[in-house]
Amino acid sequence: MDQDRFARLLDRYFDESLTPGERQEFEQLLLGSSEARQVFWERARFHSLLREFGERSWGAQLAAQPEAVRASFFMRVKHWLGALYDSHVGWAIATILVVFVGYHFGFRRSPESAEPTTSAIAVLTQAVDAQWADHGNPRAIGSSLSPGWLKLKTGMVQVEFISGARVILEGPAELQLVSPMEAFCRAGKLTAEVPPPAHGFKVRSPGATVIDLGTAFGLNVQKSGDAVVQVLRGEVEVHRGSSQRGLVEGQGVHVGADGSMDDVGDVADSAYPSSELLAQRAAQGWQRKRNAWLAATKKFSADPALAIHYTFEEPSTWSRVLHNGAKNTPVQTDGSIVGCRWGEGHWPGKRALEFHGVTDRVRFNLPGEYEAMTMAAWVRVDSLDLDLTGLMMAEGWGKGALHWQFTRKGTVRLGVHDARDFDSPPVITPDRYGQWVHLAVVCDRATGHVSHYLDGQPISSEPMKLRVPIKIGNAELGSWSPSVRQDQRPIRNLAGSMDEFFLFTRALSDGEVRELYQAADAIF
Amino acid sequence: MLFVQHTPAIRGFVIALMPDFSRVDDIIQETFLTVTRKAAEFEIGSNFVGWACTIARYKVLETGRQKGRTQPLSNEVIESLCACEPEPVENGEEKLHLLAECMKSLAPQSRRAIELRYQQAHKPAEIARQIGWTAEAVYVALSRARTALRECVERKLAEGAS
Repeated sequence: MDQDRFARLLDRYFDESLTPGERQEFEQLLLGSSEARQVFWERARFHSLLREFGERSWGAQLAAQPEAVRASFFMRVKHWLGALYDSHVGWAIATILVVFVGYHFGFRRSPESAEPTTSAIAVLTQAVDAQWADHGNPRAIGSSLSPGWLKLKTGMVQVEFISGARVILEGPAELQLVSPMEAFCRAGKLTAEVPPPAHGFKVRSPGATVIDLGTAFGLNVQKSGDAVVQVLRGEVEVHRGSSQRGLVEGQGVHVGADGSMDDVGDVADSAYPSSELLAQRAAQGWQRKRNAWLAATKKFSADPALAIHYTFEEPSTWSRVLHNGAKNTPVQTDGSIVGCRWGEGHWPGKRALEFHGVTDRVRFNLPGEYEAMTMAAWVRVDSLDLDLTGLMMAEGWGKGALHWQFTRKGTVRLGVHDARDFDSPPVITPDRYGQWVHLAVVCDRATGHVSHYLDGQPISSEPMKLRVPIKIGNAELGSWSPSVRQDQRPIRNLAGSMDEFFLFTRALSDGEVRELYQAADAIF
Repeated sequence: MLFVQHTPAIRGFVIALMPDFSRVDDIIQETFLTVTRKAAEFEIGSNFVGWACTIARYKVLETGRQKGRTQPLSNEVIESLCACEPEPVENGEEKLHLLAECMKSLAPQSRRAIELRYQQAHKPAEIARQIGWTAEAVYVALSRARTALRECVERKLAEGAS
């Protein structure tokens, strides 16, 4: 193969400039030589890397430009994102991709050991008024983070690396998580707290590398690439090329984009985002969230089809009853707590019930027969070791009964007596253990569908034929009793927590399920 | 969202088979729609990116069949290329970072040509018009700049590794 000739044709191909004759020649070379195909992919990868670079740098330039130019950029992005997010299908795609991608990248079984692995190197532990520039959806508190960018437009977030290092970042900022011991800050202000097990934790800026030798430093990287490093406690090393400087508490340097390194005077600690400020703003955020949640739930409790709403907000942790907050409920439908202990819910100050032992459960009774049903719950699953784990299980398995449960594979299953089992894709994979999720399921005889939802977004919908009405009767949250009178009972108890539960006797729309989720999402 | 982080692999695959950047977004969007519809057919444990790329390949072939649109490569060639696609490389973020550094070492006019091609998605004829060169000069500039950048990134990667 004439390599120079092939390289020339390849360049013409990437620049959309092949003549018909050249195209034929190019195709013959590709078909005839595996070496040519190999070179094709190598060069194509670099070609698409250039395009990715171009798209990103264009986005960055636009951000610094006037409204009108930016508008045209967003029109273009909206072109495909819009179609994706505006439609229900789009939400489903987004979610299913999250699920698949999460499964295949975040958690993958290696063939030799069959032991699950994770690429997560950090976790988002606080986010106040956070708006992300790189994320279609807000990131919820508790999200695990794999290597990659965090681009924060506004707000303040706290990231805890698995090494023990903790970074508080204030927007606008761009931080790349590189490894448990390294991050790269392209722009923005941060404070890094580095305890002994994470000594040597590095933060790079475009001009310098800061290595922490103990405790805390502040870093402020300007758009120009200039950076100021300030030691808040302990000591750090600042590297720039081959030169290096040690700094101790109170000292700071300005590292110019031109390579200069000058001392700066003592800057007040308050120039950098602190834990105290974050805690203060977070507390205000939670209070706002709580008020917004209470206001939103008022709207739902007026719904005549709302049969059960457990808020888990009992006045005392001595309470062994979950009060039903639904207004139009037919009879007494309070839940009886068996075994469960009180714990913290999906935001600080929110109460939750913890399910651990085989007897832990909440029992309730819902009389009547229904044409449709929607259930929604905030749940934290700690593990799925059992073949089946109960979420809301009708006692026994009679005509019209529903069993809302998890399988060991991490799928959410709605078992409908007289119909069949309806499984979602796997969503509670090991990398999601310990994280709060919002789950919902709609079972509707009229349209003949069962649909599952995760965090307000549809993840599956399947046709259902059900000849009898839905009946719940005696039922349990977090466990299952085939019959309380039976001596030996299968174990399907939940290992985890729950802090809100809704049951409607009608089918909610996709939009309504999303509202249920948004009313209480862990985003401040 | 998580998938946004992993779109580059599928995107890179589509860009290789469809050099017209303006059609890439549509193909990716349609790929996602099909991936959703066929989610049930996906076998857990197999390669998701590989599966999505198979779907993307059909979408590339489909757009080629649309009226008035030409396909950059014939079906036969696309099939043979897909039979041997090597594993996607890692360090994407690091390479982008190095690329930004390497970009600085380009001559201003070459950098401008690369920007017009990869940032603004212009074709060489339009680039020639904007910077007042002949089309042939643009081809040469783009080709040399690509080679220089590729070598620069590889060199820096090797330095970082040693």
